[in-house]
Amino acid sequence: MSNKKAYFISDDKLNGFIESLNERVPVYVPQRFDRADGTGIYTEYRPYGEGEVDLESRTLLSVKSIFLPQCEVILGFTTNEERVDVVSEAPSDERVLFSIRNCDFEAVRRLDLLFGWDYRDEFWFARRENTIIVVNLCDSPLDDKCFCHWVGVDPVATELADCAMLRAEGGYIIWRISERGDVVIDVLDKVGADEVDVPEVEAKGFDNAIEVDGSHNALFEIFTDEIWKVLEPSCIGCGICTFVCPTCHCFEIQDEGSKRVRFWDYCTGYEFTRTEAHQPRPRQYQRYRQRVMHKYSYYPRRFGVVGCTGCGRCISACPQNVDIREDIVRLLKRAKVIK
Amino acid sequence: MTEAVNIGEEFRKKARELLRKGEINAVIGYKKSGLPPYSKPHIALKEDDTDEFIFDANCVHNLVLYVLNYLLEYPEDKVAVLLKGCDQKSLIVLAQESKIDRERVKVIGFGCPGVIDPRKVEGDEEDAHKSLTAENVHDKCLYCDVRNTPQADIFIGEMVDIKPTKERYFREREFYGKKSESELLDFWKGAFSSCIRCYACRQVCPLCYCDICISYRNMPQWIELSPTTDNNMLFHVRRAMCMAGRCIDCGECERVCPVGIPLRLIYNKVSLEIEDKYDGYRAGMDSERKPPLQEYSMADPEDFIL
Amino acid sequence: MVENIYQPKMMRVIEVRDETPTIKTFRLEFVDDEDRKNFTFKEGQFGEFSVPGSGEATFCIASPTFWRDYIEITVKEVRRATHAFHLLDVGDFVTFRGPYGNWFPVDDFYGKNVMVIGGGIGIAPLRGLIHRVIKERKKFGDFCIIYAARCVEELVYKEEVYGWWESDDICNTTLCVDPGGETPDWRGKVSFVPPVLEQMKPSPKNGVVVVCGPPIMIRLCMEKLVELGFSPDVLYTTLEAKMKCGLGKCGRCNIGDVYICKDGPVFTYAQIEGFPGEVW
Repeated sequence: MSNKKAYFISDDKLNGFIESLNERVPVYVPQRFDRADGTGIYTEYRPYGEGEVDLESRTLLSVKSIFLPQCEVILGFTTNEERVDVVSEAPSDERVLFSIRNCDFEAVRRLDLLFGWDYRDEFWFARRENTIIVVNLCDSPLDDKCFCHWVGVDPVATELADCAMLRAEGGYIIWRISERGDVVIDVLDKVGADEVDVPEVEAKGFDNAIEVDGSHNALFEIFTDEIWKVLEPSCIGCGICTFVCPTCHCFEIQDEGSKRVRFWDYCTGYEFTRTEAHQPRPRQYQRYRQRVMHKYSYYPRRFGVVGCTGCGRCISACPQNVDIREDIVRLLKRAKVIK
Repeated sequence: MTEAVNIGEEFRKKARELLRKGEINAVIGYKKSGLPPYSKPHIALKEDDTDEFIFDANCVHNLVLYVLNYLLEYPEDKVAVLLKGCDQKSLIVLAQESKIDRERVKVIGFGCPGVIDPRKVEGDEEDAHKSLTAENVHDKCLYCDVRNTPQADIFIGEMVDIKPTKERYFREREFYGKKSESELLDFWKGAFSSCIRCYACRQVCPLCYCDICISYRNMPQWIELSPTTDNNMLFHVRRAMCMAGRCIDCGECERVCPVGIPLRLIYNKVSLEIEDKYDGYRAGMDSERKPPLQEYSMADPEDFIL
Repeated sequence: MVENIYQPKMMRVIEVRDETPTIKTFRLEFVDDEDRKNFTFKEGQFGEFSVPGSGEATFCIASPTFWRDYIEITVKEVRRATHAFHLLDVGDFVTFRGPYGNWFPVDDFYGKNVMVIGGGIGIAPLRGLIHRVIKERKKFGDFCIIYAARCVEELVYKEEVYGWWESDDICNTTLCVDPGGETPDWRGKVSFVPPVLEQMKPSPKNGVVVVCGPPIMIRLCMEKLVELGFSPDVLYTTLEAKMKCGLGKCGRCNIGDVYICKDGPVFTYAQIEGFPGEVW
């Protein structure tokens, strides 16, 4: 514990610090962008310098866009008369991911299990290995949409990060967790941030949890129950919840010109499983069921962890007010897991 | 919250009555939600389900989408639905295109004082979403001339007499009046660079009902699926053409967009063009008048083709 | 890059055969000798093939495992990716990723009476297996093939199939077409498969059955076989679903907690009954 140094960086010095850090290693940090219709802002993880830094909002798109970009070239073809060459490149630059919440960080670790399952997806792991993680601890929920405590996420965990940070009055306290975090601490030292003690962090206000962990088999049993047909008629089958979700990972691969690209896809859409001969999910309720079951039943049955980290983005972003928590509670009641 | 308060109660009574009599199989309306915009679509299949129906200024969703989906699933059924005048126009277009059997829909109309545009409300708290004000009212309500749902089979509550306070499509007229072509191109490129191709705009629109959207046709792949600015622009321009002469400005597409692309600036602009070129045609206003891009007449304007 | 799991190997088309008006078989060899030498696969596995620039599609490897110099795939033209295949000439390039998936447990079939039932292009994943049984004929008990198609024109691998039909000493082959699909000189049966099974009454004793065809056919045959006394865990099939990556990452072949590309595509009927639904 004695070699743990914490630094306090005040709000007015924050940008200067991130800029200095960015000169050493590229920094990805949540920033604000204007909605094109002028009705406000949204935040996203982007390379530093594209917008105003905002570490306190729920980002629209999750940290998934850092490790599994929305659109990525996985191969290029160069053709001449004699041969077709296949060219591919993995991302290789080291970078710092500054201020990731534990819901997002846990999601990334839960996805490691899938991307490393038998075949190692080097695009994912190259990015994972190149990223220095600074986790921003939540000692209280951001708002009433947070439900990380329902799905086994510790909002103040630090062990697997490289640095940790915590909101304090007028600024942030940042401290080292692992060796890789040294670069962040070095820069804090150089910009003259004050040395302080590593704070004691306790998570408060994460109340009224419904224990979802462990219910994956019970949910599997009620797959054919009639409740699915009336559970969520509002779902219109767009891709918003899937795209904003940090644990949703399904993608499509297409050839566009001389490139093979992969980009995010959504199981709530009709096209996901449609072939000329076969459409196993023609109805919207079946697709909604697939999304819920894949996250809360199939993923834990296969990998041992719930495929959801309770970040609340789907609840916040759904245009038709689908609240997956309501649906999970009704399902768990139907499955007799809760009363 | 003016006359609208009674609408919820009247509607609950009417819905219960219709279900009890067995005249219809489902009633579609709104129910309370715990999150902004504090209402969500609700389908009642049994009498007791009707207790959840509400109506207030937060009921912004276009329910014709759910009418369409329900009737596609159960083509033999009859459905009753509480429709605002704006949303009802999409029902007219669907009936004109023979996508829906109008006989199977019982439209419950009422006098609508307007709805809140949830994007204009600061903050998420329920209090902020409680009353309709000049600041949070949806743009479309300012020029609405169908306050009392036209072609309603049943009318509940009092008629309202609220005259439009702005010119129709005032926002579009202002926007396109001020910008040069290159400014417009820059604006749209910027807007489409943030499109994530979630297709929420397409899914929420009751008039986008193709079994297989053109973007999924791949012989050839007319519209590439990966979310680059150019591909996105092509998708949205194509959709604008799909909607030409059909869009009734319910505003849902713009409301659902997660990154805030001002889509109505596109569709309403196209509607203005149609009005201009086809003798003042407005979609969803007159069941008898055929949509201009779905019929041919010797008098059709040609100046933009030849 | 260390190893890109999406990176295909290059193959060249060395032969194109028309099977039916919409189906062609392609014989492919690896461009790289090393790839050819090192390549092995088992009956029932599949690969992700593409004509570069036209999208990847899933095809089973339709040739026997002991054909060392080339593999064959059978492609029905439906949309963009398969259309590009149908434009291929000898010498053109094709990309290949694989072999993926599980395989028919042929070792478990030794000593048993084997029945193979194919429907239409569903015979393609079974072809390697049939050749294997014929090659190692003595290791198996009775061998029976039922191959059905909509009409005579839609029979795939016609030459081979008629060859099996004529070789009563090697296998007992029944060919059928749907009512209305026969030609005036058709000497096979005119029937769907379940009535043929009903008539044949194959003995479940020491038997194992592999079925592949359109989903509805697989389901009806399985049900009929269970009715005739077969245990669901000796009834095998290979399932088709929309697959993209073949590696268990992209999520589209996920049904229940099963990924068709990883846990399948070969499943027993007993396993399928445990799926929550959405199979057919």
